Amino acid sequence: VRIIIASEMYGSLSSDPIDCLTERNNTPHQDFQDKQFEVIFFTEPLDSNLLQQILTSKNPVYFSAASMIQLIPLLKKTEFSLNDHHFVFFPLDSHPSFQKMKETILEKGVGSKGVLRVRRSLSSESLQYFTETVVSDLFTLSKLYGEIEQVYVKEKNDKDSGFRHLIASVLFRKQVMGHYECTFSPFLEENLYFEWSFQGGVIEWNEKNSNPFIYGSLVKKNLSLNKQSLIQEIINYCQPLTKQVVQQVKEIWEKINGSLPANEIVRGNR
Amino acid sequence: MKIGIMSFAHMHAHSYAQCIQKLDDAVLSAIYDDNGKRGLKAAELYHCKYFSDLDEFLQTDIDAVIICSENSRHREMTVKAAMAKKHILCEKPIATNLKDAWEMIHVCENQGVILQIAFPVRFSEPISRLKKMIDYGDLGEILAIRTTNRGQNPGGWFIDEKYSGGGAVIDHTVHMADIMRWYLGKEVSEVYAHVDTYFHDGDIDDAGLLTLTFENGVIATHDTSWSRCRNFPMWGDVTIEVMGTKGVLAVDAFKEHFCLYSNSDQSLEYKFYGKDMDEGLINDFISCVKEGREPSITGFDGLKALEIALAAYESAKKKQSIFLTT
Repeated sequence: VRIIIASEMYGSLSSDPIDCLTERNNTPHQDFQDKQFEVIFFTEPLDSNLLQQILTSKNPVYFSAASMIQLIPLLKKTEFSLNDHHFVFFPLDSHPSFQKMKETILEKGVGSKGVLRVRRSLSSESLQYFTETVVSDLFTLSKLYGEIEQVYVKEKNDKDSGFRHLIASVLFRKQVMGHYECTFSPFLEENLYFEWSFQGGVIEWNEKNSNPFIYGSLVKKNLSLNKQSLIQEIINYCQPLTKQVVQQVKEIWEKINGSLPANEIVRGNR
Repeated sequence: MKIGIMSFAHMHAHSYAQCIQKLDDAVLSAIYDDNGKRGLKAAELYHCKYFSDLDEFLQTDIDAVIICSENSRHREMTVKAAMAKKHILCEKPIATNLKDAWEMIHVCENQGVILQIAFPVRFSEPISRLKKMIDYGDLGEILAIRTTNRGQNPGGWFIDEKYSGGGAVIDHTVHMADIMRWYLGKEVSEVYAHVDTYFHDGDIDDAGLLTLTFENGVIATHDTSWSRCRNFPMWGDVTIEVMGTKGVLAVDAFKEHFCLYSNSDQSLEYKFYGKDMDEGLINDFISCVKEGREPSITGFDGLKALEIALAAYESAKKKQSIFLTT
């Protein structure tokens, strides 16, 4: 039984169930080792008892980065011991486009200097994982471009419209400067944009231009994710969840939040 | 109306000359250039008189001049033209330092001549349409902005700080800094920037990312880099995304293009078919002179845009935010 803990995916996965899957609310259950389930998705936050049960079971456990970040305080309290069947997956790193770009960048020479621009816009379902998403993406980028040496963060919120926009201006160790911007706006669709300009070339990818279904129209507007391929991506691109990874993610979290003293956060309508 | 061009050091001079040639009510009548070969060639191309002596050039009956010299010479040329009572359209950036910019503004005010700064992006059709939508309140309260103005390394005097005042950051920040100020009617209060040299082997900056905060709390980003590779399908870009409480709109000033695929070294080219923003700029300047009205883009606009670019350099050097007086 594979256990996937990915609370931020609830919105994307709550429709079109596949037989081998079940979504599970955070109710105490003993049957997650039940052989009838190949994969169990936990799509709501866990309490410490259930987390301990899951961690001490022999099942492979896959945490999404956002879930893992949210569970860091709980993980510490639980006196857990991480072992080789605990994994974490980072949505950016699990995306096939990013994997291909990473491969191309490594071929072209990631060590070369350049300018990175990443822009993510979130769906309303993912909004509650806003900062977790930022931290997760910056962790993935730091694995490619080197440790974050300097980060400067600005954020703008508007309570009435629900708008939230974060700018992280980052200097990575490998002579890379970057703007990472994350936005929620009721007027923007969920999207990811990535551009890497280096000496002699530019790599650009825009999720909204990469749908193989070029155009058309359906009554049902939101096509559900293909869960099978999503699970395959999670399994393929996850990495061992170690205390070192937890620590590195925590440090980025602190850098982002530490860069946002209360008087620096400019909030609308105030 | 008779127009003169002062120096063809900046490549935009050719575009402005071609724009004037299309007009019925203006004529390019004289060219001054201290580079004789370049000046003579331009005069031959545009069928007008060439002057190697600036004083002689300014004694002619031209009504207005367009200054397209190296950035560091804008002050000297503006002062001389203003003293000769010629109205002035000066290529951006207004100058390489704020002291020169203030002197240019004051001399023109004292001499009663127009000083307009060449920010043609204001005359891009989609950019100006977005301005109208903002003014009508279509986007609600503006909360954040994202901009880019990337290009290729122009080489020549542009990469000699003595003449240019700086590289990509001074060259490409001023356009979008002006557009953001224009859209918001507010000044930038804080600048944070990374500036470096990534794309060529010289010393001058060719990479820059700016994070700006406006006096009303709007936050913004700008990519000013000369990061487009030699065979990029177009010279560069001008883009802006404006996020508001009632909507989000993103504009690409050069989106109106078709793709040309070929077997040449440049296997893909974007062929722009939109409205020429330089024509809008030249038409506006000429009508300002004719009507004797305040220019739509003032010397002060040029100075404030320059101030942001200079603050970006200072921020990168000090690795901290620079706060500007608004």
